[in-house]
Amino acid sequence: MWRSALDLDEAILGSLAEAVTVQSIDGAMVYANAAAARDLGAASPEELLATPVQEVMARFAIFNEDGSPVRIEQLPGRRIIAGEAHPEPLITRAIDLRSGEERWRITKSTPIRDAEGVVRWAVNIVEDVTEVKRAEFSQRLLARAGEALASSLDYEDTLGQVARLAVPQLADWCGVSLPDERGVFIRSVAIAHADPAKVRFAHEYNARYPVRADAPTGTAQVIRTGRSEIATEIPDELLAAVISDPEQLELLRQIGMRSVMVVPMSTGGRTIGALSFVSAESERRFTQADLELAEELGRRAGTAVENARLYTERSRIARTLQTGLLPPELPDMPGYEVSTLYRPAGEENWVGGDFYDALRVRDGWLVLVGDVAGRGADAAALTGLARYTLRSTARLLEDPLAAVAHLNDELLERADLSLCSVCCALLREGDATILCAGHPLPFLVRDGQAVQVGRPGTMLGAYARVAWEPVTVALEPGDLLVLYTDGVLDAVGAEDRFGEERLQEVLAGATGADDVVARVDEALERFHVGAQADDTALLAVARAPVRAFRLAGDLSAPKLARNLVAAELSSVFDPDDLYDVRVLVSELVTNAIRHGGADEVRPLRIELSVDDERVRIEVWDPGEGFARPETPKARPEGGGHGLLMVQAIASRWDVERGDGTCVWFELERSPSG
Amino acid sequence: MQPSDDFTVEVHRQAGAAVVAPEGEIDVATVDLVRERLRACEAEAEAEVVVLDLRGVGFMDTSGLQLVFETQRRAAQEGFEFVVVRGSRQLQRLFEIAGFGERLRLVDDPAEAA
Repeated sequence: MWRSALDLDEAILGSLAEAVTVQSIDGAMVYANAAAARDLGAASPEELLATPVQEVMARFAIFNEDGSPVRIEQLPGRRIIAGEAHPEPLITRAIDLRSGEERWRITKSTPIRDAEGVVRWAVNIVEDVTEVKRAEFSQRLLARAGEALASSLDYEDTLGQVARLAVPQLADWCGVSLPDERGVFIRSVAIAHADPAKVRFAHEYNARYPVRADAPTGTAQVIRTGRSEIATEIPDELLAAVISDPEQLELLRQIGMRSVMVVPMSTGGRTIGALSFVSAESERRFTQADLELAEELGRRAGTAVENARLYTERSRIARTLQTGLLPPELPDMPGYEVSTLYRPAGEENWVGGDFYDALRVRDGWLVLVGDVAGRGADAAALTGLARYTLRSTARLLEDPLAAVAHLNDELLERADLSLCSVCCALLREGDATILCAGHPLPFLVRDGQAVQVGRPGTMLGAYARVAWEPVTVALEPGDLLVLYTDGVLDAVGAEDRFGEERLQEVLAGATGADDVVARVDEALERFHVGAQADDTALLAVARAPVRAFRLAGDLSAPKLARNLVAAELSSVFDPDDLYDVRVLVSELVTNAIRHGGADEVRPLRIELSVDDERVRIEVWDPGEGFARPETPKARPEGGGHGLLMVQAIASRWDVERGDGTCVWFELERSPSG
Repeated sequence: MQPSDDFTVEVHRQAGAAVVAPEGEIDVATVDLVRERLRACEAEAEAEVVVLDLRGVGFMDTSGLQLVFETQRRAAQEGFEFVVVRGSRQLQRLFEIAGFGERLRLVDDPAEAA
């Protein structure tokens, strides 16, 4: 009846490109046109209608757009039979299990009712949208991959994202391989699969069976040749032929590879890695179109990786160079406390035109702060030249400050005008000799007062045969010397620049080198308006203060004194030398209470100072003093052993008068100490 | 004159010798206690050997050295034997610096004294 009713339309329906089928209410297919027969894998509509529906369905793996399998109740025809009037069209992706071919389809169904309005049939019109869907997918995949690749310079991470984008629509598995650094093995940097357990399995497999770069097939081959490989079908015999290890073969069989393609990741004609795609449980067979999409993905990934590598390499080189120019970690300067402030202007620059340094020179230390003209890379290079010239010449010269003249000559020899200002301070026992070449004069902070010291001199790199006038100032224990660049003075505030007066106020009352840095840093931070305009460097050095103890002159004083001193020096001396120190302190304090008039009312005082070569200990008592004996001797009746010990153990010792009497001694620090 | 709490002097007899064994640091504050004990031992008629055991002495300055010097002279005058049990290496160095080494009878253990 149906057939005869539609006889007239048979020719029209049969010639339609869309597949048309009609189901009766009991679910049986009662009509199919030629396109439907073709799509469902039958030779003719008659053959299709003669085949049970379950058998037809079993030929396909059918997925929703999200990759989940389509349930039979989801089909619009079924929904009509189930009573729905207007079911939503259904988009499906069907894989023909025999051919591995993938088709995208939209199925729309309409009910046909009898005269009483009862639904009798469902008409299904199935439109093939494979081309559209694939184009859409390709575009989306490439766009998302592009986004992922541009998102970060960590290309191993972004390649992992790209691999995940390809799964599961393009392939069940996607892997990314790069040659290792030595070019011996091919390293798997990313593996994606919808099931995390399978990803783990693959990682374990790769760890167990590393791919050699000279392997004759697969990723190694593609990376070597730069040409894609595709195996649309992987019969078991092929696997068995390639893999000789039975265990490995068994593991590989577990993956159930149906179809494989490996494409190069290339850039500018060079192949830097490979992308692998495996179709397994989806039973899909890769096509030429898949290969083209994969190759495009490989090209984009290759370019992105290369860019990331170049950028990473370039910044690594820049960082390495900058690190060499950065202010050094200053050495430990025994007897001094040093602290620095360094604020290069600009976000990108680690190295500015300012520099500082501290180095051991003949009979003392040289500390310096300098500033080369300009900013950025040129200034950084000049900074390097200036710093290393000063370093190496100051170490060699009899007069370390003459290094400044050498730097001047060096700068004058350069083709471009290269200007540099520098302030150096040569620290020797008890004083500092300051040389300023075109540089702001340093401050000396003593007893809470900050005064500028030194004499202005010509800057470096401008004139030949310049003479500078070094100025020597006393540097007492507790004194601070503050060297800085004009970045401090020129810091821009709301109304004016920071200037010398503000700096002087900030420095007044500073208690130590660290305190100076903290104060200046905080003051600049508060003062600044807008971005920091100029590089800023500051170096503060304090002559280590003398530690002094005042003790009541009773019998407990020797023990108290030697324990206090030993505690102070425990890091300076080894236990044997420390024992000597304790003996000598004990002797001198005993003498002070026995002969020097120290008592409960008139205390004795101990002063302790340490520099890099020796320790000096002074014991003061209120007494009238005594003449230092030429050679101390024990008296025949006993006594006098104390000074004998001092004479025997101390490097130097003497008796001095001042506010009372001082007996002092010095001990050399052992080279290891 | 208050010797610190962490200073003690123990006296005992060992094989006919009177052994004075200070524990702690010998300096101007503590030396008189040691001196007192040594004199007490000398005073005992039967003590022909007086031993100063320095093994428990963590620190000693020339106050201790002076005491050894004195006691040695008294031994020569009074006719008893004075023996010192060596203390630490660092203590021993004081004796060497003071030039005491050759005149003094030094032993490693009080048992050697008698």
